[in-house]
Amino acid sequence: MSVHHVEHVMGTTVSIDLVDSHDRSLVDELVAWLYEVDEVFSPYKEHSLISRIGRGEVAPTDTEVPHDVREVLQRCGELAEATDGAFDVWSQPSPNGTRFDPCGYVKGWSVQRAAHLVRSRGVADFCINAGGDVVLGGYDHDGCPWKVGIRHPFDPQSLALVLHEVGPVAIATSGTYERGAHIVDPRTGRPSTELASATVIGPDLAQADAFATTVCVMGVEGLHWLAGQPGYSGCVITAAGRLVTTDSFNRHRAA
Amino acid sequence: MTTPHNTIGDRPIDPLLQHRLDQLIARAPLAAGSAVSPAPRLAGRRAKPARAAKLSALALSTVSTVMLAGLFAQHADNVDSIGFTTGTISDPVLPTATTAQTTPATVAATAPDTLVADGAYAGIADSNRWGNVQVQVVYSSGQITDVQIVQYPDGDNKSVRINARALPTLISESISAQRADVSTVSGATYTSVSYRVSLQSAIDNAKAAMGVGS
Repeated sequence: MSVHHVEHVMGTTVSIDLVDSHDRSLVDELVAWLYEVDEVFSPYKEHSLISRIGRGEVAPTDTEVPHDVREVLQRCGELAEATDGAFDVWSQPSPNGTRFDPCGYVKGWSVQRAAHLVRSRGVADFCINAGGDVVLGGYDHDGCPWKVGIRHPFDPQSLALVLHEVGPVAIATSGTYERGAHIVDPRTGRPSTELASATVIGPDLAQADAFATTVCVMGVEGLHWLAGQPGYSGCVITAAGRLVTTDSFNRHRAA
Repeated sequence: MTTPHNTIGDRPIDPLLQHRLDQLIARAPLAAGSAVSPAPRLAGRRAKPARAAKLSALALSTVSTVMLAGLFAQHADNVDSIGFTTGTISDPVLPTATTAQTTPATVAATAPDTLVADGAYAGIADSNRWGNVQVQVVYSSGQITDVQIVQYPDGDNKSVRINARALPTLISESISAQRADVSTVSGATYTSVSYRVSLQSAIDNAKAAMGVGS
């Protein structure tokens, strides 16, 4: 018995797949959490806390700002520093008209939290896919490593490569083929077009997602930077369709 | 030197590759030494031999890639099943590279009229804060037969770790999801609307049809 659920939330679609579980209430809890995150963090909602912080109506240090939000803001600050400004949620054109859009971190963060919740309820084998960003626990329905396709950037109906993964692991892909060329280099304000997509594998989805965006901004050379991040590996597909990987990434590829 | 031609076959060239290639072409005579003379068939036809050489090189690069793909597929079944072909050839700069050998250095001795001695020629290393990037071209019988991005070790362990395998691979054929039997698909964030035409949507529908969950 397993549970499979699809929810349209946070402006995307989240697929939840729990192996060997029939805990519907856990799914309800996960979905409620995602809506809660959307309420607080969505830059599309005029009165969300994030929109108010972006407009300067609320300071991040105000007592009304919950711990979760502070944690996210702090991590975003650390990432801006670690990436030398290539990932900077304070320099992104935001749907609410400000320059503050933490979506690039929040989605991964919220889904990683959801994964912790699943694991804490004794479900070891699961797959949560939030708009193409994936967090995995244990093994698939056949007791085998999860087979994860990486979408072909030039063809939505096919795959560029297939990875074999045993959880816990997170896989995030950033690219220019969805939502237009939406990867903007915060340092120049211009779209990054050298890469069609960047995929990052690692222990934490929020980090992996932020790193995938970072590599997209940096270009092929971003893989050098990524290889210096302990526990993370990745690949890029250039605009011309070339695949370049970090050394450790190749261990994940299907034989 | 710049050029308006920015495709290999029907594919666009990486902007990065184009840039490095331009740098390399500008430096090609230097790399080849003073014995270099224009190839007669190119000089007779083109006002700009370097550009002509580049264009024919790009065409040949594509041809060599296809040939190598066949070569590689024969030796590694998994490459064929995954649907990739390799776009790289032998790389003397990177000793750990496991790629097809194509042009032995001895060929140079049997082809005295070639423009440039056979072998791989590295271009100018371009430094930026993420590391050094370099392009190299491979000559065979006086023609450039392949162009590849080489990321040079610069004494930094991080870079070495990438360089060991950071050889570009050409995607010539994608994998059908059905054939790959994947459980999930990672891709750039889709909207709720684009989800409907995504592979993940098809996978979710299949699970729903199987009566798994809701």
